[in-house]
Amino acid sequence: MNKTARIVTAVILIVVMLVINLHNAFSFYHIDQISLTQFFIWQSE
Amino acid sequence: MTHPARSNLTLFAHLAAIIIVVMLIYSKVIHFDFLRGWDDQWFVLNDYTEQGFSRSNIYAIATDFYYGQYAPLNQLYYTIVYHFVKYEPAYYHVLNVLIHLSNAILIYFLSRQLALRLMGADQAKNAQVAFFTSFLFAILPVNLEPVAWVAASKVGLYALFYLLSIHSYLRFLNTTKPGYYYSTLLLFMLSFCAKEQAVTLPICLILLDYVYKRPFDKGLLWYEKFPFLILSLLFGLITLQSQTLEVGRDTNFYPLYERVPLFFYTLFEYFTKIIFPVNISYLYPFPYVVGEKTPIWMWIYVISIPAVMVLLYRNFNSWVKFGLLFFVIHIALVANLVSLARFSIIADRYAYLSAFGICFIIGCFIVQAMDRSSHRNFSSIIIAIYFSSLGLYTYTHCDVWKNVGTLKKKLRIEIRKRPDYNALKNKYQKS
Repeated sequence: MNKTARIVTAVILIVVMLVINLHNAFSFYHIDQISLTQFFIWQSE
Repeated sequence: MTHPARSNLTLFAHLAAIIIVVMLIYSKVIHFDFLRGWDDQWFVLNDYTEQGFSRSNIYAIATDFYYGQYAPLNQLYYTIVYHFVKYEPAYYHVLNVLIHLSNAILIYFLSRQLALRLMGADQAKNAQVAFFTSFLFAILPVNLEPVAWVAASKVGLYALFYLLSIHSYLRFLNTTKPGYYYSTLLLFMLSFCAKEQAVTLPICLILLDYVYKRPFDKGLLWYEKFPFLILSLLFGLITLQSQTLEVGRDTNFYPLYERVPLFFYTLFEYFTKIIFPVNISYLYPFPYVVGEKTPIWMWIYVISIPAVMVLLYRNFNSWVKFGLLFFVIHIALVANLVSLARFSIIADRYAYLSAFGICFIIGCFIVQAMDRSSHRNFSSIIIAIYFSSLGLYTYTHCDVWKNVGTLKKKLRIEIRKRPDYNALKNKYQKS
């Protein structure tokens, strides 16, 4: 694998990981229901 | 060679810039309250703080595990502050900022020494690397949490003694005077007494041996580390003992094979939060609950991170290798491979010291890019935009930490974005 191919592959992998991380940064959708219940309790205190 | 007077002027200008910017960014914290409802109410406002310097209180501070925590130096710090100003939050906040500022200045001098070893003997360039590294560290949004939150002062204190310990070790390497070796050991103990994350110091010292090109086949190098390793082991046992008492046997942990994808994801999450902090929060829930199946997208990290390292390893400069190793050494313990007794996958404060590794890479990269670039003006504008954005983000996001009301409000806004928010809220209210 030549240098350019190695760097391009690495950059693609980094971008894929970054996209997932950024998606998660904007989404609390994946928060589970247990944590959410704790959240409601904490908010009502 | 740089003229000494000019070198002193540069040093003065660099430190003045860091001090002024930190004071500006964190100027609002003087009006902040204690976070009663987010740990300050038991961690700061407690009997140990109020009972002063009686022998029994000092003994209790030194020997008690308090809610799964062992941080006697940090507790002693609260006791001292309380002795002078009682529970006046402004002083606690200002002291947190001063600790952060001290850490940024220590990082300035550390970066200058490391740049000399890793980038060459050009003093002007080394000073620039030190400036960009420490300036970035000082303004990072991910470092806001341990500065604006009084109960997180132990992070700043542990980093302070840890960095002093590193400085002492570098003095030892430069002079071979045994006094510096013993002060390294003493500062290591003080660092652990502020926060358990200090147990990584022996590995960090070995990394510094690598930077200083010390011979690893010589016994002396390893004999020197022996007392540090013994202390680390002892400190590790103390930490396990304190957490076991608090967590108990009923707590569910992720099984070991699931912690591998969690580890790689967490590493990258910290890396992203440091260089590209988007929507930072004081709470990052786990993506799935113990017992559920690991999401497929998490396995991407298990493959991609080692693949990226293999693909790029030959292109890494010595300063990239140092920065990445420093980052990994200081974040690995809190990257969920060792299961932590908490409900948040990451916490900004855990990245505090490890962020130095990434800041150092960025600092070296900027200086090298500016040196080689034929478009210096354009590069300067990009760097100015990046630094300004980070500083502005830290300044504006600071408001979240004003009191427990502002803290709750931020999370409420995030949670309400969930499509099933109302359904879940109704379900909770009926139950």
